[in-house]
Amino acid sequence: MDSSDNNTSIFEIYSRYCGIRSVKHDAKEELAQLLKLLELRRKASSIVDDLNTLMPYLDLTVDSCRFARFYDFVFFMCRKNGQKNITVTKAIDAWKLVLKGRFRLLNEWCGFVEKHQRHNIPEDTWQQLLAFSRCVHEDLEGYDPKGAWPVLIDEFVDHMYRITSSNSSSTRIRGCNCGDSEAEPCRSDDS
Amino acid sequence: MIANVFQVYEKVKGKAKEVILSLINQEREGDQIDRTAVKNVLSMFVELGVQAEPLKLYQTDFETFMLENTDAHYSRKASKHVSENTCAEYLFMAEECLRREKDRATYYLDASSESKLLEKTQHQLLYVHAKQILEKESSGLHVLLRDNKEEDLSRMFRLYSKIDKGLELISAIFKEHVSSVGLALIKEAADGTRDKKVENRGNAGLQEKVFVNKVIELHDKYLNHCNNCFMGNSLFHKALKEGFEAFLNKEIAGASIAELLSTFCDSFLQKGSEVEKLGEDVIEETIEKVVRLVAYIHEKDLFAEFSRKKLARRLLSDRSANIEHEKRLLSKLKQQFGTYFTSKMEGMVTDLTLARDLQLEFKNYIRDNPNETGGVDFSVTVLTTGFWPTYKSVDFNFPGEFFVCIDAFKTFYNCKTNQRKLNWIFSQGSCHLAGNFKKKKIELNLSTYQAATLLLFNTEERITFKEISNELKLPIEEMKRVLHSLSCGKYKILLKEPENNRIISADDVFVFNENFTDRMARIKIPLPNLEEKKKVIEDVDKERKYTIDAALVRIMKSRKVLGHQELVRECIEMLNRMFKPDVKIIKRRIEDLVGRDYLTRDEENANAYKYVA
Repeated sequence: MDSSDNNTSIFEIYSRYCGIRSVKHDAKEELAQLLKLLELRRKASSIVDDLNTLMPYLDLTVDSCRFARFYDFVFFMCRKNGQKNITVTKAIDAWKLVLKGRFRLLNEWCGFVEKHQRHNIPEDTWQQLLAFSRCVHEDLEGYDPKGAWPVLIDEFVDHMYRITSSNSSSTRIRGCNCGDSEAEPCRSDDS
Repeated sequence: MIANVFQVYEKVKGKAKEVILSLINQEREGDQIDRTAVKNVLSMFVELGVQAEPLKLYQTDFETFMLENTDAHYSRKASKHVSENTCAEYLFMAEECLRREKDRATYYLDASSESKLLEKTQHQLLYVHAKQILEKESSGLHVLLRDNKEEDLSRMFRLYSKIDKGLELISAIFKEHVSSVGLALIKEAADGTRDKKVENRGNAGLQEKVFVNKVIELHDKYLNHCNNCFMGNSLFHKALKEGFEAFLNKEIAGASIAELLSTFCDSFLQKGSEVEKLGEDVIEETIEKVVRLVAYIHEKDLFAEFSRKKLARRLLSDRSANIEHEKRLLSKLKQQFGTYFTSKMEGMVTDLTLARDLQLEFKNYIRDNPNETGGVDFSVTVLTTGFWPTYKSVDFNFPGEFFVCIDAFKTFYNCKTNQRKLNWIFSQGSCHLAGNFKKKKIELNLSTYQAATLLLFNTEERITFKEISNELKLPIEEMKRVLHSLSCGKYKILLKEPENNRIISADDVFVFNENFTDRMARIKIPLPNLEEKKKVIEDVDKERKYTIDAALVRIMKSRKVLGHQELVRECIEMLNRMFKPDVKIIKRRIEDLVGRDYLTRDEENANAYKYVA
């Protein structure tokens, strides 16, 4: 699978990532090292390739916490040169891959971000989107405008309201089918 | 014997009650009745009362009926008058009725009846139809306020202060009235600016003056009502405040009231305004009134920033009429909004005094070393960075005449202080040149750049744009602005070739206009200011980000963990005195702080944040 022997396999990196994250302490150094290993891989394989390799082997449908861990890892993978935020293009590609079947408004979200977001995506927005995808239905029920959602998500909701009110009668928002059974927020200490 | 009395009482009580009630009714209609007789008969009800419940007979056999009768009487009277009378007439009538009822009670009813009687009367006359009376289209509270009917307003207050929720109702209408009158002023001013846009800007500041004066007048009027007619009641002061807030936070043709008020202060404090002729007490009073209006605007920081820029301009171009007035305004603002609000502006005023001292010293130095400046009268204002607005300092290739002067000052300054770096801001400088025109000599009052440009024409007659630009090395845009002011404005000191348009382009050629003349011996050639307003707003927005960040961190530092809503609320509360922060901006700032690891989301609750030490 890997073209060069110097490269640490994506499985290895992922399991080390989970190892680091399951211990509750600040592990900046270790994560930075891991990030370097990931960057070495980029010469041979793209993020999308790596994700496609990794995903079938992870049983992500079982519990929501495991998926959340994996979701965090995807953000981690997308970081370049240790930067805190990731580019919009990368974020959208990654979302399309990992949230497929898990977020009813995925297409709308990606379209919105592509069109309206000029800045990079910070980790908090990345993480909150998962929470958003879990607690908000396709008709946006469950969204609390007073909640602590990142501004980008607030703006997305406003945007959706505008669209639905302008063609309320005819088209309903077409979401993708998904078994969204995991509404429970999860904590990161059970791995 | 006693038993007998009661038998008689039982027989006559009904009749007696009927008679008295009808007498009372007659008296209410204006007839004279025998009050003593009524009093005597009524004393029967009381005197027959037993020890345990002395007023029982009086209450059950007379008072209840009397009150019912009162109720019915005034209910009828109210419905009749409320449609026939004006608000003022009605209130007058009501007060009169209440007075008579009180009189009646004192004269022949038992003392215990007075409050009940008045209660019933007030209820029917004032409470039941309150809305209808107060909101009468052509005579209600709005009209009384509009026409300054102080006596009627006082009466209304007197009457309704005894009615449950009466003052709340009146103060709500009062507030609505104040804000609608204010909004009308705003609209009028906005229409005015639209109409006059085409006219020249010669009377800039006049519109603001008219508008602010009207607002002050309005405030005087209603504050007066609050204190005199409404007895300084806190409900009304609150209504006044909210009424003013409702319209003073609008915009007039894209300008905020914060800006208008600072423009007003600017022209008020400037040399040459008619204010100089006003007495000290009037000036003091006006300053106080303007500050009171500032208290109503939400964006006080915007007012502060505009005021700072304008104060800087007044101080630097020596346009301030009286430094004592400046100080008075600052101290009023400080009193009202705190030290932080005025610290920079106060710094500027002090700084300028020091600069003046230094100027004097330099003057003496030049007197002793007359050759240093080559005969040019030269002065420098040395300021402390930090207090003053930031000015772009463009390095340019100034003419030799300037060079000598600047050098002389540098020598002088370096002897006085060491280790201080002077940063020259030529854009704020001004220069007087003697223009030797064919017809007569005219003194030209110019900016440094304008003067530098004109001085080039001492040696050359025709100079191209490129040559001027190469010589002075000013940025192209600045150069165009300067040349425009000299060749396309009111005073054409330079003639532009081609002269067909009023736009400066890089291929233009300029010639000194020796035939220029003017009836004045001294003229000022204005150099329009760049979009200063935009900069002020940008600066304020930037400053707000820091202020919000600081507030958020301060709150979180003391609270450690806090829900999103509480954090937003506390932040708004903390900053309320300076401005009303937009919730969305606060949210962005929180996000930013999360991104910069000052805060993190609470693991247990994504709607709460934790302070990261």
